[in-house]
Amino acid sequence: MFTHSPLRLTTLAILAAGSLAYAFVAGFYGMEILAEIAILAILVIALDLVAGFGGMVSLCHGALLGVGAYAFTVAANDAGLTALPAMLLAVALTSALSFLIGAVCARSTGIYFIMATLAFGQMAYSFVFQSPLFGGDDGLSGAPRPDLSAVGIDLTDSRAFAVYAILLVAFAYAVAAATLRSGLGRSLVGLHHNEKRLRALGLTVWRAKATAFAISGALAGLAGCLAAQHTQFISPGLLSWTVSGEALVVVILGGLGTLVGPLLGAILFVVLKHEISAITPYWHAIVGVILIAVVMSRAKGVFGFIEARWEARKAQPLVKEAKADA
Amino acid sequence: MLETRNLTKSFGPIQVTKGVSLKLEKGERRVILGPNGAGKTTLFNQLVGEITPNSGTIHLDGADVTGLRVADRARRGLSRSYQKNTLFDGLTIRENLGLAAAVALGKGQGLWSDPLQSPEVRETVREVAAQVDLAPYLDARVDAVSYGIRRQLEVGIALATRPKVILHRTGHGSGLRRGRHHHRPELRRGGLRRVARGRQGQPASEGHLFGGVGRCST
Repeated sequence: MFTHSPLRLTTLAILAAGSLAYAFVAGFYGMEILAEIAILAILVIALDLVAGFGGMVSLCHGALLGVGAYAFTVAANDAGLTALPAMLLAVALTSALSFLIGAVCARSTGIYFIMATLAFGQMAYSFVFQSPLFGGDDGLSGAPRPDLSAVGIDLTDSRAFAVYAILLVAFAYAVAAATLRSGLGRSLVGLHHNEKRLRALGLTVWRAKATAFAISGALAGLAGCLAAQHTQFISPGLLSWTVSGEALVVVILGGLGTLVGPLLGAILFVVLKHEISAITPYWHAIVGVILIAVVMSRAKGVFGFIEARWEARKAQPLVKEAKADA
Repeated sequence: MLETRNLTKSFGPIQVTKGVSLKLEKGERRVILGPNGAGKTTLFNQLVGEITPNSGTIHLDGADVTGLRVADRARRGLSRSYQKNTLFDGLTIRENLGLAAAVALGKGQGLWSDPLQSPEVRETVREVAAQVDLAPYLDARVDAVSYGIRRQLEVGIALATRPKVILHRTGHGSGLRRGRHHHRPELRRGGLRRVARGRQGQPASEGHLFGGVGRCST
């Protein structure tokens, strides 16, 4: 079950303080990286909610992010909505689509679940790629950023945008954590451990899974809105399954089923990507080696590794005590 | 509480359940006995809703539940245990019982509060833990405790739903041979009577059916 251990709360506080502090000292490039981290962080929070806690490994979260980005851009450009209502609409639409995907895929588990979600993701990708409505291969440009000039904030400024992005990550984290501590979240973890028993206890399994997927999808849609606002240009590449794959890599790298870990993973991944690609174009190979090392270490990612060491340190006195008794 | 009329079930040409009619009255305890292949499991699975009979009906507390699925029957007060422990490994015993109580109270899909912290669920967990002698182990992880404790939890999860009828799935090694229960961890120390009666003379549920108690597992 999900809990906020002191270690997790401390890590969260450090990450929040560190990223906000960095947003105020960083140059333009640093702030672009912060925004990129924030988008990935929201996506991996969404993915960890269903994959890490519910055991529903999804390969359509990239597509959900893309749907959010396209829905936002179309709603803002063509339907004439301002940025905030367009965001709400995009998030609601992505969430509804995710509920459907979750409901359909709820019956399958394991590899079949992964394949079913991949199929949904590819459907969304080809639809956006081929439909003239969405600019096809050329993508769409001109997604607006929310106008907060009423409160004296100009989001076209990259520093303000970076802070705004960090606040959205905090919001996404709060939503995911609240979900995990709710009845649905408890059931979600139970489903991961023993779906059959939970059904025999009276849980409508498909609805629990679909609702969890809808919440996760809403967050992925939010990440999509942020992505569209960040680059103000979107292309079908956002919906590609490789985006989902990358998100899964980040979740595993950071710590599957820890919620805090994926945040750490997102930072590590983006920073490594930029640092290593400055040295060699084969940065994927390096990240691959790191991922293999993390998986082979049998720890739950980087954060799981830290957490296990921390727990072991705490547990040591107990063992000594037992020995003394004997 | 639980009644079947002319239940039949065939798998291909083999008729396994042949017109079974049984009745479990309020407060009664019944045992289904039979050798390997007698059809105990098939009957049990029809009662809980995992397979549907070819014909015949199943009534729970007066209502026809023949067409209802597993979860729907559970919500109407039918609880079951498993022959092979079917627990939430990786969670603590408290979380196992809490999850069962939360789902049974209809809090399994809620979004706005943590059912494990709700007074109702905590009270149920405390009561059930006392009932099946698990109070000292509440914070132990299920995958770290002995088989006997896991077995007690198996029964505890079934009790935590506060059911009308419990279908106990027992097996392996003749629990009721010569009327003794000493092999069965969950029935130790008068546990059977305690489980059936509940605490302070209150019945834990209104009817018990101990399914599949045979020499061999089926």
